[in-house]
Amino acid sequence: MADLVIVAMTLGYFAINVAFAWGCGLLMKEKN
Amino acid sequence: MPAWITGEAIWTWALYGAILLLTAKPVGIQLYRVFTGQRTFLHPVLRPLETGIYYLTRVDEQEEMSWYVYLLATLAFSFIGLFLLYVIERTQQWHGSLLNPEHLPNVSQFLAWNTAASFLTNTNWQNYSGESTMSYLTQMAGLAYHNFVSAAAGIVWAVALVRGLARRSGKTIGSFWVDMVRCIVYILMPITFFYALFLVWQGVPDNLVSPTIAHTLQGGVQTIAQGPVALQEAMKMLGTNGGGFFNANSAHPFENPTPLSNFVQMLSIFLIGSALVYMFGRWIKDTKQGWVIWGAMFVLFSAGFFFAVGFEQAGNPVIAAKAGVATRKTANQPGGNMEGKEVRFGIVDSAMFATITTDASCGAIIAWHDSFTPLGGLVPLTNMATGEVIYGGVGAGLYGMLMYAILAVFIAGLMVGRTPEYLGKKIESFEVKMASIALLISPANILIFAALAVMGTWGTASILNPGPHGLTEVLYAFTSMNANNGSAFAGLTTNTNFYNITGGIVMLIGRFLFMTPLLAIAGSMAGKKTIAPGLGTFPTNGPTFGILLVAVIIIVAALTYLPAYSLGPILEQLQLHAGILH
Repeated sequence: MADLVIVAMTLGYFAINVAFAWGCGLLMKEKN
Repeated sequence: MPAWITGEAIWTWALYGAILLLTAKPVGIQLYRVFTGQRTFLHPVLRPLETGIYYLTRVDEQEEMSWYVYLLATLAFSFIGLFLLYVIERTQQWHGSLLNPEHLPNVSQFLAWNTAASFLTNTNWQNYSGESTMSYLTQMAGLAYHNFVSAAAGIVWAVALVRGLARRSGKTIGSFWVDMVRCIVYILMPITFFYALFLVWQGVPDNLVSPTIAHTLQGGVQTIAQGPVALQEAMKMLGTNGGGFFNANSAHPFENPTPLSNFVQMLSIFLIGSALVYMFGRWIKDTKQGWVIWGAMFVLFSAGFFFAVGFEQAGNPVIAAKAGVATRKTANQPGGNMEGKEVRFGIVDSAMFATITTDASCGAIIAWHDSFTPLGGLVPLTNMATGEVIYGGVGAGLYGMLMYAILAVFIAGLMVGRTPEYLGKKIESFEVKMASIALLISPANILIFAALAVMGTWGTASILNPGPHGLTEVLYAFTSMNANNGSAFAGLTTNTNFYNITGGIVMLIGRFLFMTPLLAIAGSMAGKKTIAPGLGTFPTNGPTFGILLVAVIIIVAALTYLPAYSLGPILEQLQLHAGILH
C-alpha cells in the first residue's frame, strides 16, 4: 500500500512541476 | 592580530585559494570545449564511446531543444531514475551473496523513497547508515549511478543557461541528451577514474569483500565494514553529492585517510564549480565577467571561513568561565571548540571543510556541525540558505549566481536609473518575475516545512536538544534538504515517516521547481538580440558590480532568514555569553 502511495506522490509532484513550467511558458508568450 | 586568526588558518586558506585559482582556467577551458562540441585531448580515446551512445540511444547530435523540451527531458530522465533506485532499494534481499554479502533486508518504503529523492536531486541526505543498510549493488548501481547523473544534470542546466545568455538570437538552448553524455564521458568519468586511483593509493578500500571481524585485546568483537568505496567517494566529492559510504562520512578513515586526501577532497568540491565560472566568461567572450563572479564567490567563501574558524577557535565561553578550561591554542593543545571534531583534522580543517561543503551543495562532513559553536554553525546554515552560490553545487552554483546577477542589475537599474541589461540583453519583466519566483521558492520551501515540523510532536519528538538549538536543528535539516546539500546538523532523528516524506518533497522542490524558472530565463534570453552597450549601461565586468552582487546576496539572505535565525543560533550564542545552558 505504501508503495502505491509513493508512486502516486512522485507522479503528482512530476505533474505539478510540468504544469508550473507550462505556466512559466504562458507568461513568456504573454510577454511576446 | 586577534588570537583566533592562527597561522594555520591563514596558510591553509591561502594555499587552498591559490590552487583553486590555478585550476579554474585549464578545467574551464576543457568544459568550454566539451560543451561547445570542440575537439579535446580526450577525443581520440573517448569519442567512439560518445558516438556509440548516440547510436544506441538514437540521439541526433545536431538536434537542439527549446527550454521547455529541455526541461521535460530533464524531468523524465530524473523521475525514471528515481523509480529505478526505489526498486533497487526495495529488492535488496534478492541481490545475491556477492552484491549483498551481509544479506541486508529491503529498505523500508518511506526511507527508500526519501533516499531515492535524495540521490536523484544531488542532495544525498541520508536517514540511514550506509554500511548497515545498503547492499553493495544498491551502493554501486543505485547510489553511485545517481552521483554521476545528478551531478551531470546540474552542470548541463548551468550550461543551458549560459547558452541562453550567450546566444544572440535563437529559440533553442542545446540538447539535454548530448550535454549529459558529453559531461559524463569527457568530464566526470576521466577525472573520477584517476581520482579514485589516488584515493586507493591514500588508503581508501574498493572491494566486494564482506566486513572483517576483528577481536580486540579486551575480548570484544569489532565489525570493520568495507566495500566499493573509492570510486563512490571520488564522485561524491567531485560531483558535490556528499553521501558517504559510511555513516561517519569523510571523518571515517576509510573515506578520508590522510591530510593530503582531506585537502584534495576539499579542493575537488569546488573544482568544477569554480571552472564553470571561467567557462561562463569564456563562452560570452568576456572573461572579465567570469572573474568578477569568481571574485565575488571567493570573497564570500573567505568571509564564511574566517567567521567559522574564528568562533570555533574562540571556543565555548561557558566552559572557559565555569570550568576553567584553557581555550587558547598553545603548542600542546588546539584550544577552541574541539567537541564533535575528528582530532586528525582539528579546528581549521573542520571549519574549512564545513564552509566549503555548504558553499557547494556537497554535504560531506568531517565534523558534526551540531557541535559547532552557535555562530560557527551559522556559517554552514547561511551558506545553504543563500542558495549555495559560492562556487556552489556543480552547475547549481553558477545558475543560482546568475539569478542573483539578474536581480543585481535590476536593482542597480532601479537605484541609479540605468537600463537593466545583462551581457548586452535587456532584462525585462519576464526575467525579473522568473528570478523572483526562483528566489522565493527556497525560503518558502524551508520556512513552511520547518514551521510545520515544530507545530506538533510529529516533528518535535525528533529533536534531541531543547531550546534554540533544537530549532536550529530543524531549520538546518530543511535548509540542507532544500539546498540539495545533504549535510546533517545531527541531533535530529529524521528516519521517521514525517521527515522522510516531507524531506523528499522539499528536496524535489529545491531542485526541480527552483531550476524551472531559470531554464525559462535561458529560453527567454536566447531569443533576445544583443545590443551594444550605451551610456545608460551598467557595466557588469568590474569590481563595482562584484560588490553589488555580494551586497545583494547578503541583504537578501539577511532579510529573509534573520527572524528565524534570531530565535535559533543567534539567541543561543547570546545565552552562552550570559551563562545560560539548556
